[in-house]
Amino acid sequence: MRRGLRQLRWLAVTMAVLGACGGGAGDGAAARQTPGVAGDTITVGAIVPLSDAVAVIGAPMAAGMQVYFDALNARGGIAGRYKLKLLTEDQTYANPSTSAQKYQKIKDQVALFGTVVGTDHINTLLPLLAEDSVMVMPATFDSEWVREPMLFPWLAPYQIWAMNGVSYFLEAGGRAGKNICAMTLATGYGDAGLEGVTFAAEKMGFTVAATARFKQDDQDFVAPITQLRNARCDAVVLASLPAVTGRILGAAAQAGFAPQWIALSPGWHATMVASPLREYLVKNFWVVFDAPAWGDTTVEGMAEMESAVARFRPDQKPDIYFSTGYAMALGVEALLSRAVEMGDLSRAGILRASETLGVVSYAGLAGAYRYGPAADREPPRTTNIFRVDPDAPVGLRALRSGYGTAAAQEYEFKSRR
Amino acid sequence: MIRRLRNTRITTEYAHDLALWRSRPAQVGVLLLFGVIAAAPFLVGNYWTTVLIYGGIAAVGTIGLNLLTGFTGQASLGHAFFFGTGAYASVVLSGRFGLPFPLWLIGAAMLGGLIGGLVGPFALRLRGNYLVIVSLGLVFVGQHLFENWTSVTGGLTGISVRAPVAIGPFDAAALTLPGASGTLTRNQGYYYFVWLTVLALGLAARNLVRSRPGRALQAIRDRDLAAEVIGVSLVQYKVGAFVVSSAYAACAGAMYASYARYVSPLDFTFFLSIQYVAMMVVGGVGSVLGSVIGAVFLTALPRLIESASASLPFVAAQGGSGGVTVFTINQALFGVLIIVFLLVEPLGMVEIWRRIKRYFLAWPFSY
Repeated sequence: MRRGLRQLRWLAVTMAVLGACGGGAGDGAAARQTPGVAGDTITVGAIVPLSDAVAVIGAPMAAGMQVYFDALNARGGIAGRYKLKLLTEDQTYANPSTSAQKYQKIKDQVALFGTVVGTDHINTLLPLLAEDSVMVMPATFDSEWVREPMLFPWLAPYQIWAMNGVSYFLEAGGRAGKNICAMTLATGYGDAGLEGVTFAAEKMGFTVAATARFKQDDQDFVAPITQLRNARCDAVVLASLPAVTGRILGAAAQAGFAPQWIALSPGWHATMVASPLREYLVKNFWVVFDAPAWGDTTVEGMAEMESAVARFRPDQKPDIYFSTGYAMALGVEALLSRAVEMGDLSRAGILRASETLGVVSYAGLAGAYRYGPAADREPPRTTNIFRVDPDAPVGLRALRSGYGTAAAQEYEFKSRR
Repeated sequence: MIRRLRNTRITTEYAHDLALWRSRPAQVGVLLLFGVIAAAPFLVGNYWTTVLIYGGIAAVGTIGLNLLTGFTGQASLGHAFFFGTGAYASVVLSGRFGLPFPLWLIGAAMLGGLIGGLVGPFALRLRGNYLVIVSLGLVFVGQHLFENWTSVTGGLTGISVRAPVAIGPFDAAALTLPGASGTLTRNQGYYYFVWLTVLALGLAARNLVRSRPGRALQAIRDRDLAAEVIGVSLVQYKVGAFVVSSAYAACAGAMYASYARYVSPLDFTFFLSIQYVAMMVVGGVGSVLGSVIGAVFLTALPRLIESASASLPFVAAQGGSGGVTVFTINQALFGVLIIVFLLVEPLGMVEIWRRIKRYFLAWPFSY
């Protein structure tokens, strides 16, 4: 025992000496003023699913961002000087802690994160962002992000999409008095969709007839579909992911249940129109989102994107997640341009730039967003409603653009933290 | 020569069998190992420090599982439940009741031990496969609880954790080392906190298994009826093994929550139990050092595969582009390693290490 104690004393001394030798390493990292900025190159991080079932969202999103950066760099970069470099890491969508690990891996190499997928992934990162003063542009649209200082949110929040979708069905569609239900993924994203439906119910004076929750890896949807059918749902707001949506709709079609599905856009993928559900989708499926349809060249940004795709990624097929990544890169450029203009590319400088940025229009690829200090940010409150059209580029054709309801105008954005 | 052999291989007294570190080379080796562990965060960078932190946390959990399964012979797939219990206990004890460090950590371990003590009596009635199935049920009951007890766990969307490792001026998130001008990063501070805990709990486990209770546990493992005949109380030691093992798992869970600062039920699924079994089997069943080796190896391996994926010809960078992805490899990895080790090296990586040691100890007569 005495010998053991002696050895422990040696251990303590060894650790102290080694620690003293290496103490400078931690100081050195802290002393670097502009992480992610090396000469005239600014590195932007991306943590997206590239290899799991949600790679259908993450991979094209990273590609869209890369194409925008390629086009921007070819024009000379930000302020004709700074080239942008994308550093991408793979996450596992079902496990938010994978994003925290990847964040630790590359945080010292990037000026900011241009995209991180997953509401729960953002929740996991929030304490780390505050500590490291790193900004993240989330590829997820919870209303809570509007008031988070370390996030650089864009697009209208999920809650707004859901309430505008419901309102369009009931009011614009002339179906007042019909039963509204919700079927949502049991994650922060799903809860945000459900919150939108609940808020719409309160403001528009209807009762949500039924709500069903499901998990990403659920295989059997007979029980929730039966529940919704028994509640005589005329419309169901769906917050889902592409791989699950197919299974849900398959179960619904088999049960002869055909309400108007109002899906938040992460539940859609263009490949679904090639499935046996094609006719069912055409008749019963809407997608809500506040971005334009692929190929709508009346939108300034869409025309630019098409020419960038032709030049830098000619094999790219129409994909809403590609255009999402492209639009996010546009936001990153706006933010970094402002930081360059203010002469400060440090993390604190980028944060200050976000507070004085003003309105970013996203060249029409997303609703105009008014930036400022987190408490004063104002996201767009309108939504585009799409129906399924197998002949349209991403299987979606606009049913109504820029639709907004009074409930969406009344919704207050709050931080729950 | 005789002296050397006595110091290393041939034991002439019971004290040799009981010694923590039997020979001078072993002592030097352990000190060197401590040196490497202490220097690691400065050598491997931020990302790999994170991986080593998760490896250290997993080591604590694996030591706990090894005490129950490797030393006492009570197979369990319920480790994820106790790990999750510890994580949520730290959420409540630190966040809601405001208990400071180390009280929330001790409290979480005690709660885990208490629940383990309630589950333990099942092992008196059930053996082998039946006990495995009961422990499996525990994971699913726990999963249901974690998902639906939203006021405590935040439900499936998860909950933020505020469980700082700080007593007075000592804060693991902002450590200052003697002679250094600034503070260490949070990662570096947590690394030392986690690995000092691994050291303390590893030593405690080693002391437990080399003493009277440890011999009782091993007697139960080898033949519980015979153990009872020679006077080992099955009630006391089987339940005791569950208590200690669950307390280790809960302690690991609490450290995980404190470090990650956000937990959700997705962190404590059945897959986590499989990971722990894999760590124990790959590291070495019935070995404290093996638990640590297995935990670090299996925590780092998926990350290593990921880092090397660009140069592996059969691995596709992105899903949907054909070939096996890093994600699918990592999903299958634990199962494959359990099968390979059980077939090829049932005593785990630690036995490979022991064989190397034996070879050099008898050198040049190593045949």
